[in-house]
Amino acid sequence: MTTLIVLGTIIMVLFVAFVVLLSYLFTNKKIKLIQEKQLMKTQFEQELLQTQLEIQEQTLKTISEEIHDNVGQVLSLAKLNLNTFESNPEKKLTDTKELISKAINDLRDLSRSMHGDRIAELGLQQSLADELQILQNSGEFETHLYITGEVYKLLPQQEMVIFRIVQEALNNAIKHAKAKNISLQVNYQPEKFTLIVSDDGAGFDTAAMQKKNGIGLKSMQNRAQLIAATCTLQSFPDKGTSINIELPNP
Amino acid sequence: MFPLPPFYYFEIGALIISVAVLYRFEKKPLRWFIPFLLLMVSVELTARYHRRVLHELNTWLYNISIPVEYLFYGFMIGSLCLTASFKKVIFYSTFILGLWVLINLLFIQGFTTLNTHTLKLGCSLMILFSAIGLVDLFKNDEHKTLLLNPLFWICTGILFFNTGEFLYLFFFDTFLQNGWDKTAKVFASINNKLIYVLYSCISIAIICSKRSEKRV
Repeated sequence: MTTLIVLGTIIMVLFVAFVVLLSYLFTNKKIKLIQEKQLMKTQFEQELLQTQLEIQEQTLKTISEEIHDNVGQVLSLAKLNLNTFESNPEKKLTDTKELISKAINDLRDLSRSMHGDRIAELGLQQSLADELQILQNSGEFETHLYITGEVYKLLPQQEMVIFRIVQEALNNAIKHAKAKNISLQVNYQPEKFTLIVSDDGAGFDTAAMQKKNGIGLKSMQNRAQLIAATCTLQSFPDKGTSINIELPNP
Repeated sequence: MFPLPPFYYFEIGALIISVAVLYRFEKKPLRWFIPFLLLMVSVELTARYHRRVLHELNTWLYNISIPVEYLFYGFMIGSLCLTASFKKVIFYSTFILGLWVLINLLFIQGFTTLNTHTLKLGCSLMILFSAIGLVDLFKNDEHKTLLLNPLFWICTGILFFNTGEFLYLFFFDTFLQNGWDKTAKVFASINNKLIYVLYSCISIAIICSKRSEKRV
């Protein structure tokens, strides 16, 4: 009896030792995992902050370029007309009025396309249509908007980010690719939302661009990451460019 | 009286460490280790004095000190646990144990007979509390490095000590009836060794608590 009880006690103590050891190993592993998760979260937050700063910088740059290249030029021309007003007053006055009207329209378009509330108000579909219409109105581009699938509403933040990516892509198509035809294909599927921006512009070697670490593409990809979407690019020299935005589980 | 058996030095060592480390400690529950260990050392020395010098029974002293020990450990584990439901279970159980101790002392087994009912209940509750403490460590992400966590060391020490005592206490009445002196000696030896484990764990817990406070 004594031996049995002593043996039982020893077994119980050994069992406790085993349980404590297991609990130690298990809890330590868990703590390690939590610390790793925390580290990843901090890194992600830092990246997110960095991305937000880059996006802000990019937006300001776009506004600055738009004012300088477009509105600034038109107003300079208007000033020139006014300076040489005496030579042909009537024509100069008409031209100046037209130029100022154009500047006002351009500023309005810029303001509309930059204003986030307006995108939320109009919805993604209408905002995209308006953006293409502005290009179409310039007379230099042929634009197309294709919508397939049953249209549903995305979250306001998702719509805003997608719209900004499209703006960036359109900007690239106009400025760098010198495209003539630009099309947007929007596909509303139950399991994912896809949007393809394609143009027939100059195109480029994507591998070479990646080596150069193209900021425009990086900025689009960073924006896409903000809403857990992906942004991929396909381009070949002289064969145009297409940018594919994919948002799973919208 | 002298020389003292080694386990006394473990208790005295834990007391010295607690005074040295916890004297200016900010975390309140752990500071209670100072009066508690002081009480335990005093009880052990007084009990030995009664037994060895005065040749008197010291059962009454243990009938008071062991329940205090149980209540203190219940309070300590309950305070260090982070899960509210666990705290509640431990504090309520400790309170019920306290009531039982009084009832048993005053109306059932009295002061002069060893309170075996209390020991059985207390030992079982200590195993339960330390298991709850370990589960709390699993459950809560707020617990940082385990080896620097006082709760881990306190629960480990209490769990080892009380598991080792468990069978002995549950068969104690049988031992008494059959006069198994040899068994009592074997268990006294096991008990002494488990005291080393318990007070070593408590000492580590106290040292760790200081380190973890420094980290914060």
